[in-house]
Amino acid sequence: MISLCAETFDPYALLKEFTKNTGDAGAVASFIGLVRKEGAADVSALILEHHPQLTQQSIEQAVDGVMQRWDLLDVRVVHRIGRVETGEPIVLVATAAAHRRAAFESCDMLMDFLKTDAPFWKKELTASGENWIEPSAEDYQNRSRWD
Amino acid sequence: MAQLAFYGKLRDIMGCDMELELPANVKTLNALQDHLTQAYTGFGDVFSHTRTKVVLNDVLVHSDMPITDADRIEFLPPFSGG
Repeated sequence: MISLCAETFDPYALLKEFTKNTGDAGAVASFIGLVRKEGAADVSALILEHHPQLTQQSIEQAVDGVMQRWDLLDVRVVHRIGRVETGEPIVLVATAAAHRRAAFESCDMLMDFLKTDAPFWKKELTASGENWIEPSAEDYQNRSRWD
Repeated sequence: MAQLAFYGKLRDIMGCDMELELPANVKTLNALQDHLTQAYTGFGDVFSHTRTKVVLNDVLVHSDMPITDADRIEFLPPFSGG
């Protein structure tokens, strides 16, 4: 299941629910992304823009892709949109499989996809102004591992 | 009038989405990008990025395409989620 949330969410409650409903899974892998203050940059919040159709579609396609690539029992993706305060969760990805390798790798691939290939635009608000964030060369390199 | 939409950094540069009567010499996406680059300071700097994408009538396009005043064209700077 994929959710784009305009309000903050509780990733731990969602993960608990996900884990409870995965049937015969022997492995659940998860990633929770949080908004960082970034030290001296003093980030107070992020603004997450998305595309009204393409964002959901592209994540659905990515989930279909990992379901075909690995033998998964379930996938959960929750991504914030709108204003996200420092310390709040921005993303939750959880994958369930019979064995750990499929769960780890599919979770990893989905996060790499979300960083560079899902139509989100991220602006950080700091004490000194606003900055649009673009993926790093490392983000693109991580994503290319799955091609 | 063509409907133009912008996201992320491009939205900040352009100020807002817009309706545009395409100039007579603007008959393709590439020509429209050239037109916007000349008309709006900063558009070309962002749009020259290789990871920028264009959506024509709800379809992501990867090459130059003919356009008319009936089209909806969206300009997407590099994605950054997670």
